[in-house]
Amino acid sequence: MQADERELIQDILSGRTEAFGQLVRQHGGALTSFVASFVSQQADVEEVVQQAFVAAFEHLGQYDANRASFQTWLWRIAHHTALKHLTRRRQFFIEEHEQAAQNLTDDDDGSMFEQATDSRVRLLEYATDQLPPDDQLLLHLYYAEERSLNDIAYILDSNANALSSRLYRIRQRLAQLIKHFEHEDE
Amino acid sequence: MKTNDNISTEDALRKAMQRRAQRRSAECPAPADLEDLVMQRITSTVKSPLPTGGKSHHDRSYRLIIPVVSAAAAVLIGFLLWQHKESPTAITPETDAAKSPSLATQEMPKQQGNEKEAQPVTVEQASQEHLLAVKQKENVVSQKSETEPLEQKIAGLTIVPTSADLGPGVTMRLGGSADTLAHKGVDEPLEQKIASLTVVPTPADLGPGVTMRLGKPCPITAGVEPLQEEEVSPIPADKQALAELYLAEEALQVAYERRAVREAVRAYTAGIKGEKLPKPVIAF
Repeated sequence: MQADERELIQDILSGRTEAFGQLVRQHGGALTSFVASFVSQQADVEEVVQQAFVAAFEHLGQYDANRASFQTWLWRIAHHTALKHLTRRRQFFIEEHEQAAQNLTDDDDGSMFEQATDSRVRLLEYATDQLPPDDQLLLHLYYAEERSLNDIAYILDSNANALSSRLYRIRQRLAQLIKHFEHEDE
Repeated sequence: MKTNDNISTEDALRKAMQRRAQRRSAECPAPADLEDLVMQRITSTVKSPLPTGGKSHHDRSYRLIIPVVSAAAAVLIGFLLWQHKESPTAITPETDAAKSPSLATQEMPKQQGNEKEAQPVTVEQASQEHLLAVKQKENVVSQKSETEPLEQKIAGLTIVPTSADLGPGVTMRLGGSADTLAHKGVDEPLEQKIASLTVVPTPADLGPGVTMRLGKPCPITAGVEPLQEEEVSPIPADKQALAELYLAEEALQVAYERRAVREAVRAYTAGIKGEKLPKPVIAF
């Protein structure tokens, strides 16, 4: 954690509320990208980001610099806030995705990825959009942000072993979706 | 067009996710006035000040502001409330402060009931009372005064033939109103009543097998004319036992009902007092 950031947090805790604006400027973009990776609607993304910052301000006294970086801690709050927000708005569409998953079999082992092409990458993108938001977030944190499983476990309030199993299942599901899409194209 | 680029699964996914993230960031950029929006929310919604550095959220102490009341004021308020509660009864040294007015008033019916029930009602007393009530109810006894001379009553009777005129096997009745002989007195035996009549054949005159009845006069016919039930004034001797049994049963029922009411009142007052009553003993 940067020393400037640590001093900034100390100033905010001392009562300088306006110093929190600087933190918003520093982390606003990344937080928005993070939320956009698993929240589809722009209005929802903006609302979740603002609520996450307000929650971070309210609980700034709980932040432990030894446990995680401020960004990781902020993303954890944002994930929790997004869950609450999307649950209220019923935008998870979990049932829809679960129904799609039931139609697929578990026979594929993902070997098709060995011949990945640009088209396959695009298909992967498209297939990822069809997954539940939590699965999208896991893929984004692991592959796009290249975070460790321990970091992701802290953000998602889970444990590394469960996340590893979940990653495996998500990869299988993606392979099936791609096969399904490729058959549609043919 | 398919290429022969052999990208591993992990690489493909990584590439896909990065492209996706760029696409999503482009689709949902951070607002330019995000800082202002956040600070406005903070100043408008967050009312409690942040704790000083180093303290956790759970260490935050919330002060509950309560009005400071002195001990004397608390005692005075409690006394006034208690007095208001006890207002129906006068506050005397004898009054038990623990009792509520409702309890005091509830005890009264029990005491009244106890005074009444100090002497247990016997079956005989109840039966006699009921017997009187039954007799008055059935109106078997005439409303005429008991002081009316019997001769005057009998004078209202029609001529009664003697047994000799009637012959054997014919029943003879003494007519007039059915109640003329009955209201001589409750305890007066029937023979005495009959003996006081002037025109009354004796059983000896009538002979064996002839029954004598008291009732309305009716034309003398060859057969026996049965009497209407409502016209018989006293309870027949053979039915007396049944009647007494009936009256006794009714009296017993009344006694049971009274006891049930007493038990109910006792249980109610015990419930108010918070006492536990022993289970009732079933006598039969």
